Amino acid sequence: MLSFFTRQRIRGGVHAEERKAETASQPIVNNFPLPKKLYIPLQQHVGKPAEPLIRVGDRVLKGQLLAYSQGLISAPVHAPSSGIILDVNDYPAPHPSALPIRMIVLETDGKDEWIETCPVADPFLLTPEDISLRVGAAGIVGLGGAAFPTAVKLNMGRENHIDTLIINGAECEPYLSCDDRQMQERAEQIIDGVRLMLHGMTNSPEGGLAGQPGMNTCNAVVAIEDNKQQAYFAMRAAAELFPQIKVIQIPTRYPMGWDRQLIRYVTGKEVPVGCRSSEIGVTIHNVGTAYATHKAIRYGQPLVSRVITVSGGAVGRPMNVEVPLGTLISELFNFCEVNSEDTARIIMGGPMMGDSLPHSGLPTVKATSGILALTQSELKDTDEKPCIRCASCVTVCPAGLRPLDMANNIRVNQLDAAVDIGLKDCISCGCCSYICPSNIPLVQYFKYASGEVMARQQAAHKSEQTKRLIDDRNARLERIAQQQREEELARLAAKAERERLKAEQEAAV
Amino acid sequence: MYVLSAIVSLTLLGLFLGLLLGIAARYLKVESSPIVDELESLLPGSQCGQCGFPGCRPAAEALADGNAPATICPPGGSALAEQIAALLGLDLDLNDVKEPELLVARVSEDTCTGCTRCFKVCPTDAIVGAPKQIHAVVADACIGCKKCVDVCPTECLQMHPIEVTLRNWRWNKPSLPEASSGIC
Amino acid sequence: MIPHLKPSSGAHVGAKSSVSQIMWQVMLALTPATVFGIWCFGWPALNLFVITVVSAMGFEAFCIRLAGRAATPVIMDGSALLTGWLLAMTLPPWAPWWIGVVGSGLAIVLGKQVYGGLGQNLFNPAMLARVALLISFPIEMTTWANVSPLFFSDSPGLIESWRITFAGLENLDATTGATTLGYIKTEFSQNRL
Repeated sequence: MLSFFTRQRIRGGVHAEERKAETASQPIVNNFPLPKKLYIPLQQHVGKPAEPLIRVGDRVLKGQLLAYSQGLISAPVHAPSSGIILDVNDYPAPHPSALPIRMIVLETDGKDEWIETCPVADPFLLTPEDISLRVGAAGIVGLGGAAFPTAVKLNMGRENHIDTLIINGAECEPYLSCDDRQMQERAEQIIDGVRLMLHGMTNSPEGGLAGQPGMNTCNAVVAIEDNKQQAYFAMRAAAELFPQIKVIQIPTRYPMGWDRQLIRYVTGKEVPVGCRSSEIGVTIHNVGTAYATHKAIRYGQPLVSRVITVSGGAVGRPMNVEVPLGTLISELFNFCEVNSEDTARIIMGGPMMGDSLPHSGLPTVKATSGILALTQSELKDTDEKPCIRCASCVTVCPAGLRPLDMANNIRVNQLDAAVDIGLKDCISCGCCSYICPSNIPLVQYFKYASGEVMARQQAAHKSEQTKRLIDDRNARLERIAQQQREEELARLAAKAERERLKAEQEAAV
Repeated sequence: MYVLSAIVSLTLLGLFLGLLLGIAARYLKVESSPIVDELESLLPGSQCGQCGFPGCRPAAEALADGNAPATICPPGGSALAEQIAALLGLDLDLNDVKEPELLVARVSEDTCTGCTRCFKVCPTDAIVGAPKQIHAVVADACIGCKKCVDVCPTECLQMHPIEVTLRNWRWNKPSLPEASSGIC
Repeated sequence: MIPHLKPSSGAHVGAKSSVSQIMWQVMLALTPATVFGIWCFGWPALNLFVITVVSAMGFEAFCIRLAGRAATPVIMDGSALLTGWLLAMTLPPWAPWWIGVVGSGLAIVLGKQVYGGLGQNLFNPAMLARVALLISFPIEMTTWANVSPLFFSDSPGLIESWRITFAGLENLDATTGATTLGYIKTEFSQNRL
């Protein structure tokens, strides 16, 4: 507790009712029945969607590459089980709108047969570049929910001066406990993954980059909220042999797992607005990502499954369960005995930042850390009242913004004014909506406004483009007209010449 | 005497300054209002006529004269309306502006004869094709002016609302609570 | 399958807080000062306090009824009570009853409801009413009572207090005077000190 006072203060935040106990106390369930069909979206990450390289009717094995990454920021997609490809088409995406997105539909054959993998005996003999490549090829993305390709982050780590690697085990969202359970049960593997990540960010002497930017101090800090005692002890025991990995406890306060908040708390450094954390020498990864890295490097297994927390008041058997990617939420709900009549809202992710889903016929993806089925009594009241300017939202905002002023500006469509007072720094963490005594949907105002600002920028860009197109067209028409005029003149000149010659001939005759 | 001298001096001063102003108004007169040019440069310049004026220049003149609202240009949308309002110093109440439903032209392959009339009139070269070939509309470049629809002999060009996909899906603006709208 | 639900963004759960809860918290914070103030200035202060608070709630109910809405839920949020309370605490404790009533009326009607009710006011209604009262009734608003605690022998009793509040201070044994700061200011301004 003393450390709480000596360290830098935490800005804003709330302490929401945790509701983690039910799922955090039981082991991860591994016997989820293999679904008949898996719906695998081609875009489960930030960046460009992957490009499929299989055909309908192909038989694939578990872990086989289904779609390769395109562009610099992208990630490949692998088959979560063995079976036949049924379709590559548009299906509803796990998104609040449930609009269609391209997916591969895989009919499983029940054998769950792995493709031949190439385990590495001593991965520390691999070059760091090789580690990045393998992590990228395994389709690993940030499993905390951001879904940013991990290999890109490792590369950035090599290109910048990094002194601290932070492993985010905060899991500050209520209800979720998948990271907690993984740290309790898979501590050694996670620590191994952390070591591999450290190795992947160090510049190797063979690469000719010794002394170049990158990780030279090799420090990793695993930060775990102090409500997860068991996970903390397990991780500390696993990290004992490795002095470069420090396991620390951090106060339980949402949003402690937000990268900037965590970096400020752990290192005391503030990430400037508009900068990446790597610019101040810090890289941050989730514990689940570390585990996936361990699997990918040691065993050559790509990311094909993940641990998901299924919880909420309407769930009969709340649990953490390891499911293949692409499993439909409805199948998860059947397994966990969700009472669909009590379900007032389905949420993907945590209850603070997660988005509601319109129905359960949507697949789980790499970024799905939890699926919640909440009853009406758990939800926040929607009975909206006028703002009384109590400024609770200002107190809790971890980004130091004034949510009430921004919402007032947005309400009267003064989006520029809202941008001026920091709309773009809003991380939609939900603290303001959570605390608001008048039940104002502040976050929805900010999400609406961000979308609108982006749409206007696109519109402005389009009108510029349009102007250029019109100018080009006018120039072209002008050029054609000019050409015609010249041809006309040439014709007239030729005609005059002919007539003159004719006249001359006649005169000669 | 005091009063008299004050009246005389002030009257003279007034006359002199008035004369100066009169001369200035005559000799320093600006022929055409520069604001019209500025407005015209803001407008898309596609002469599409959706505003009800024969082209962008007449629309800019109407705006400068105060005969048209800042929200006159449908393709420009609210972003342009804000720019115009800022230039003219108008108060703009965007609550009254209905964001126009954006339409794009689409060619129906069944009936297109490849007559090339449409892409000759398209102000932004958004229609591509060749004689006797089925034409296609580049949705990103289409500004929804409907000129092509008017000239198409087979009615194969039709306006469709822009499709909502995951890329352009946006959160709705929260509706205001009923209590505050129920009064009055 | 669960039928279509409207897309809604976080936070899906909420703190158990409400507008009335915030109002009650402020009142809780005001309670010690209020109790001490009433003890210091005796029964007339209590009379004025009750009159101000009750009339504030009355004006609020009247305005809400005028707008054609049910008054009870709006009264129950405690905002009118708080406005009356704050106003009462800024009035001279022995001021006549109509100061409290007029003040409440100004606060609720002019300070709050004409703007559209809770949350729409430009200024704090109680403070707006105090300014209006100070300008309109300077004598009543600057006639301060001396400290005369409850149950002291020379303090006014309950019956006496009704006369002070409802009939004014004319035929009263107790003495009144400017506060020390006000006295010093006046004397300084006339170069007598």
